[in-house]
Amino acid sequence: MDGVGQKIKARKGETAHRKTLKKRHNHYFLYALLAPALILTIIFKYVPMYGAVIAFKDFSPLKGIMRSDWVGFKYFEKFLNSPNFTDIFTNTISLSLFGLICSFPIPIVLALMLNQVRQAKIKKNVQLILYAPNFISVVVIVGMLFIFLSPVGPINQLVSAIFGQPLMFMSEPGYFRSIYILSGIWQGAGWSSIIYVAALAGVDPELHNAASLDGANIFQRILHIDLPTIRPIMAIVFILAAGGIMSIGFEKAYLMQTSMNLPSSEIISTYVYKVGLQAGDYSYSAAVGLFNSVINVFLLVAVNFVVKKLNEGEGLY
Amino acid sequence: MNLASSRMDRFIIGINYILLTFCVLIIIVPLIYIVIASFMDPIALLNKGISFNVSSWSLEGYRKILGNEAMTRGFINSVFYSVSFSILTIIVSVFAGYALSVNELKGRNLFMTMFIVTMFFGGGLIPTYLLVKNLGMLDTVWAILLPGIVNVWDIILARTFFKGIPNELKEAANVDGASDATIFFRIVLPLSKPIIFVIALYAFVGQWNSYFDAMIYLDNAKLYPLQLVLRSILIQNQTMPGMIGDQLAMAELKRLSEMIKYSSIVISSLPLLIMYPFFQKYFEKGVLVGSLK
Amino acid sequence: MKVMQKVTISGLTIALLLTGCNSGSSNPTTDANGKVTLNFLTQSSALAPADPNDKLINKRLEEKTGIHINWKNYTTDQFIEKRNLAVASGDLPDGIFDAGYTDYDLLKLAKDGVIIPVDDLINNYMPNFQKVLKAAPEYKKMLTAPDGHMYSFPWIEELGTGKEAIQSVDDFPWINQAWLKKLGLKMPTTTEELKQVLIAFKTQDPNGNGEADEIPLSFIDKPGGEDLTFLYGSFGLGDNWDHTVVTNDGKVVFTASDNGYKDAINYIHSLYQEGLIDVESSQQDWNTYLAKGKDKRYGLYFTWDKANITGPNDDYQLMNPLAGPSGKTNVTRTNGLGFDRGKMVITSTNQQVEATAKWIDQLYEPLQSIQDNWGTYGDTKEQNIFKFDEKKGMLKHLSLEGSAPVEVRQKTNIAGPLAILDEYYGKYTTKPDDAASRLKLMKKVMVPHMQADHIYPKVFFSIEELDRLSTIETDLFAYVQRKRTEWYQNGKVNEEWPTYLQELDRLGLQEWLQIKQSGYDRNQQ
Repeated sequence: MDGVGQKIKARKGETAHRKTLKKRHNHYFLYALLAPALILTIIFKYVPMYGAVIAFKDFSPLKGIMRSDWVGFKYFEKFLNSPNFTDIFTNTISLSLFGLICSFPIPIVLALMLNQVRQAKIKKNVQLILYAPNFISVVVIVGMLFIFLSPVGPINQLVSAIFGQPLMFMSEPGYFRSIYILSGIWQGAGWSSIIYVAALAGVDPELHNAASLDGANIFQRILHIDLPTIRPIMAIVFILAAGGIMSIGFEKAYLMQTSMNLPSSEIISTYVYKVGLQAGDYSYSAAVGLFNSVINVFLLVAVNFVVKKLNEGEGLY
Repeated sequence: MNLASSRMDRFIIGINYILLTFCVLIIIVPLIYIVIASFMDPIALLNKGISFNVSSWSLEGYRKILGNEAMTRGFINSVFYSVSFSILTIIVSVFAGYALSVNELKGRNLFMTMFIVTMFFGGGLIPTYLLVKNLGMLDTVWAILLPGIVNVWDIILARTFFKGIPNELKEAANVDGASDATIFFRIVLPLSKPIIFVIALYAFVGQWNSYFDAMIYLDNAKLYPLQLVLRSILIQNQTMPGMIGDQLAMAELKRLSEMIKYSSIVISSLPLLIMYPFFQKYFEKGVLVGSLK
Repeated sequence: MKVMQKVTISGLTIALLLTGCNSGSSNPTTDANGKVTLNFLTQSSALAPADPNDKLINKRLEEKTGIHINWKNYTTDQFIEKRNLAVASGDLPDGIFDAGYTDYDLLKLAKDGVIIPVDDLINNYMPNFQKVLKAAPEYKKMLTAPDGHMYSFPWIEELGTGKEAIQSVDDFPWINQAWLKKLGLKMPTTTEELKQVLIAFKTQDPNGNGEADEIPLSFIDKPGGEDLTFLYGSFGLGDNWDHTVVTNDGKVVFTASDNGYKDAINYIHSLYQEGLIDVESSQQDWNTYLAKGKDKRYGLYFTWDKANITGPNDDYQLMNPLAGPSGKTNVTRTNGLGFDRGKMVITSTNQQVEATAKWIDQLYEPLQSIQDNWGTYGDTKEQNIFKFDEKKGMLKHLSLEGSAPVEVRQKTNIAGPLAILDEYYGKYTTKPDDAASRLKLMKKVMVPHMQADHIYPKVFFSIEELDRLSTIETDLFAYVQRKRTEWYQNGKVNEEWPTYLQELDRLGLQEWLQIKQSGYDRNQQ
């Protein structure tokens, strides 16, 4: 395997030239490219940032955020002292973590598979079908889950015929995580594969030809040509996803909750929504958001560190 | 393309096709359900399931939507927002991504950090709303278009992609005395069609499906995007037990929303599915090749 | 780098300057002719006209009072967000109409000085509202906050009073009369008889189609009108949606820790074991429940009004309260009332407080309240709910001629603060048909079996108490609901009962009881 790999690398290297270059000192143009993003970020993200302190204040609209009373960690304590805090926290992390681990490889595999399809028409149509579920709103997805997985729905008709009893998919806490993650993959894997497909578009088909002539089979070719091309993107996607673990969204979990599956379906965002239903409790949700963000940052830095080790020093930083 | 295929290769490709067919089937079956469900009466749907019996179909779900003037306006608005948003995102985020991919750019890491921090920490809804208000952008299209086009995810993605463009190309141009601008426009951009179109597509779709910004910043119903219009029909409030008149209200509203649940998906995703093939051709293999030669 | 620095700094400065200024409300409150204009924030359904001034009722109001209202109207799906943002950003209107504020909201807004107390306004400028409070003084107490002031104007809709109030029981049990007749069975009077009847439904094919597709009992396993907790009454105190019952010697009890509760669950489990309960009950939503109901597949089901589910026919009939193993019957009363505290508030930036109060007072005039709630008469553009009998000064309900009542109502009414007292019926208006028939059923079938003399009143708790209650209830009620559903299916209520009680305490039950009891005692003074 190694010999082939080396040969492929050598092929790539043949197209490199070494020449001396003049160093450029003032990159005004590049700064100009950067400027709109920077200015907009400063205006719309940094200027309002003073508002983050709302998590430490008892917000009163007439006083505004800055002049409202300081209450320190009151809302953080309220959150951390919730009777079921540990469960909710664990639910959030495990849902996110397993979700990440399960759904990360699928778009990649899909992209690699699609890449091997020769006929353009088939490829196009298959792609279209794979992308379609992305456009279905989460309300309908969950609605469909309830219908398909209902005790009298199609899946359970099969189960009942075999085992005599239906499986209570939407009631048992044990199923929640799997259903959540699998339906998420069903919905999003196709769409997420687009970025990898695009990256693979940059691979010179000549490389594949040449490698094949050198005796490499498909696996070897994928391993040594395709994968290295998309590795940087894989790394980035993974790192960024890790940095979002605590912030897993609220809507889908909330819709999927039934009275029985709460032990695994109650996550931070749904809980905060319910407690903060006395509307306008900005301080409480801000405190929880801040708590989540701090954890996310730690995760990001940690994962970035690990990924860099595996990815030849290339990570977010 | 004629690749020498060994036995192993043909076997693998065969498995590949089987797996892909499986994926397609898994996805297409529920999709067919949705399309057919959009033609059915919700009660019949829940009781008897899908019926392929065309005579039991009804166009009610579509009539309710298409006849609604607010829907048409919402549709046009959404097209406008999504296209503009998409173009602006490219100019702002993708271009910034390129700048950050150039190793020699001073302060590169500082700027990157500035961007990344905003992914985790922010002021929250109230200060942002106040800012938008004070800038006079409330109830205008700018409130939708400006704040969101700096997408750090896109910046990072673009940067990664640009880093992947072989340095030799840029250096070659450098030697020939080309400026930063020339390198960017003549060499880098033409090679970046895939990433540009991917980000444009993601931005377009993201904006098409979004409603929250529009909800909080817009008052004038004439500016509403499609999703917001749909939402006002689909969402109902919880009633408190004891509010008598609203019991009947609930039943009626629920019936209405059930009816358009599926047809609204078909209508709002149709344009996207039709548009996609247009983007498709930029994802074809070998885009990079031409430039090397 | 220098260029970037300059850009950054100037950008920051501009932005800071802009954020610094806060626009004061500079809306003119009188126009050129001295006519008063007020700015109100409100909500309406997606079916209603975008500008509430297009509604006939509002047009007539403007003529009557000479005051013009500028409405900022949002559809109900966005209203809460928009309302909260408006307040949080300091962009206050003169008043918020149909505000939907919870008690906590009201107290917080009052504390922060966003809304003003209205006691003096009522005493000085609002004769109609004073009349209402005099005729029904219990509402004055309900409206008064712990600090002794009133901060909002209520919505009051009485349909029957005391035990006969239409809200007394929400989950009416409807039994399939057609099947009873077909099988030659009598209406069950005890819980055991019900079980036998349900078994007969299941095994004897009453719908005659040769298949055992009858669903003997169905319900939606969530607190509300479709829950089967009606049956719990046969075993003791019973249960309602906020698990609160007051004994006849004034003690507040948590229904879900009472012994009768345990017995009720055992009973339901026994039904479950016989396969009498709809498998989908623990997870179905309204639409699924409705679909099967329309198909008349139920033997016994629960809802507010059978017309909503199985239709206004005679196939289903209201079942009588059943006697439990002790031989006694009981119908548990809900703590529901046609009363909404925070329907309208006046903000502290309002500069025409007297005019506002007078305008609001008009809404409490009996004929006005009636129209605001249901719809109007003499409208040439929209369908009329009423016709006006000039001689008697009475509004009479018209037939709806097939339109959905809701659609008509939402297009023409204005809701908001109003009061419709029981004594108005027969004097100022007729009763709506569906309400009238339900009230009759309530009086005939349910009231005679109601053991409880008191319900838990609409206590106005303090901010701290409200905070504690809502935090505790989020976990406590969810736990109760979950355990109950589990026990229906696995029957382990007796063995798990001690651990269950411990867990209730851990989740704050004792503190909850204490807050609610002290609230009740305060209210009785």
